[in-house]
Amino acid sequence: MAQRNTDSLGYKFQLFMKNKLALVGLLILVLISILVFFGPSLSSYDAFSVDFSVKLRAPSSTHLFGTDNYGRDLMSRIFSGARYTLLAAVVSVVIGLTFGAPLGLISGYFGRKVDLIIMRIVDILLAFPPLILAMAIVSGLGPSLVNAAVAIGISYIPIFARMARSRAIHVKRMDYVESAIALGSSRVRIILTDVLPNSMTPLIVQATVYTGYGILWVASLSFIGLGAKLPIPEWGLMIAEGRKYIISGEWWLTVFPGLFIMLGVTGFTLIGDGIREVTNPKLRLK
Amino acid sequence: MMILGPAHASPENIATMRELMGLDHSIPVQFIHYMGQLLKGDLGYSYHAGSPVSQELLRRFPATFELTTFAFVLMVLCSLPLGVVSGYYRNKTPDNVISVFTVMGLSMPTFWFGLLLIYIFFYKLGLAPPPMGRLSPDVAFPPRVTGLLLVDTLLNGDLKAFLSAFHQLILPGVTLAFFNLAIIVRTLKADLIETLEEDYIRTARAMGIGVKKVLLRHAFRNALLPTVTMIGAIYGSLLGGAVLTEVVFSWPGVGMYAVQSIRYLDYAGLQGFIIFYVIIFALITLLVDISYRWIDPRVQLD
Repeated sequence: MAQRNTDSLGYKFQLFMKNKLALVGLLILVLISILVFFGPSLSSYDAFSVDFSVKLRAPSSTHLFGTDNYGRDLMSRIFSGARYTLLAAVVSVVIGLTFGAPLGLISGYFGRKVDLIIMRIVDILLAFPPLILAMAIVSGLGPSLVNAAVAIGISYIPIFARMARSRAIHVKRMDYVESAIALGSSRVRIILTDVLPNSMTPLIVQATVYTGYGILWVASLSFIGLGAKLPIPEWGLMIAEGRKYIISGEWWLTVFPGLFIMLGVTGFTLIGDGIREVTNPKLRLK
Repeated sequence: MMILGPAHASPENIATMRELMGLDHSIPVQFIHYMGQLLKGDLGYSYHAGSPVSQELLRRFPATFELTTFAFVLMVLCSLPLGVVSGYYRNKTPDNVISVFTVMGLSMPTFWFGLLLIYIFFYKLGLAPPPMGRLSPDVAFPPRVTGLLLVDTLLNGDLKAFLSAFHQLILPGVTLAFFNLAIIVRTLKADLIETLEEDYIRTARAMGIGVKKVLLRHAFRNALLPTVTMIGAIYGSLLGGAVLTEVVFSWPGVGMYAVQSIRYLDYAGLQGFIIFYVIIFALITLLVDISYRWIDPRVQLD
């Protein structure tokens, strides 16, 4: 054990595979990815074809998840909708990461005035309760799925910036950064070759977990009418459509899209936790 | 006018309307005007509600406040024991059961959970009242004193109305509390585990103090600090979640107002709501920051 290189990727991968919960997460992610790429072709019905003769049918052998108020097959709609919800969540994290991480790294590494200015801007963004900032941005840009993803991305910027900043401040004090300065590396070079790679893991963990939360936020915005537009089978919007029918007992319209949202969020959370445990020696010992 | 349809949108009507709404000025002028009015506490006029935005927000805020506070109390009452249990029985059955619930709570959309509760407790079991507002329709509203129905009905001495208000509050309260419950349980558990490994806990045990007493008197109180300081953020999350919960339960609060404003493209209403929320959130954060010092005298304010 002592001889083993615990930092090698192979070893970390082995650890990850030993973590049962992380494996479940990985399995869920594979399943969801299949839905994202092949969703519409996995079901025998078309997600948009209306057939009033079978409207509001309860789950049965012909329609496993039942049908909605237009007689559309719910399973096809959920499968086809995976790509809208998931892609919007991924886009929001990409935006949050590409703007937040550099801001945080620069802020943490340069310190002083730069830090002060960037962090005050971040504080302004953090002054909004979650969801409210996204609501404000979408209502300014106009409601659509793309704008919802952008809005969630913007509200993610301060979160990633703070994480990157704390890592940069930590890494800055390391000996190897000092030697790089002594060797005459420029600040930009140090940030790119030393600070960034050594800050990657927590950022990746955070990105994974926040992709999961992104699914929740996308669905929430669609639910209140600030996201996807009808007839897109986005999962949150499907719940909003099914809402009218819950008090008359047509539960399947709401329950199934919600289950898939839960599945997606759980998958990303478990993988995030798994990576965190594998890469953090402190947690590994416990 | 756009919403009422072309029949009402004659050129003259549009012109008077534009003048009324201030749309005949350029955008910078409109902005400066809005900011000027804002300083006087005027958030503009809400066209879909037919009343000034600030008035509408103040009228509705007690409903939101009652809901979030109820959820908050519920959440604290449930999460503290759960957090202690799962921290103490780490990786054993009670902890695992609680963990499954908290992970579920964190990955569930708030509005979906609310709809499930409506289906089970209203449609299936018939225990809950229909998800329509704050009082059942056959009960008269009490005279408005605080705007909080639980308080007003008691002041009015109307027990039936009080029970109805309470009845209406349960499902939305549970819905709102559930998501945030998970966050507190997880934080408290992590802090408790860390505290239990401290030297003074071992010392206390070595001195012969019972497990229960060490857990509650020594560990719990120290582990509570980080949890309490999270409360500001949690209340913000409750306010955000309240928007979704209000929509699901037709709760006539400020969140519902914001969503209606979105539907009617009523920007003054939505902007007013956002400014209002940010001010409340900032106030809460300020109070929490001040209370750091009170909770932990070691914290220095600079």
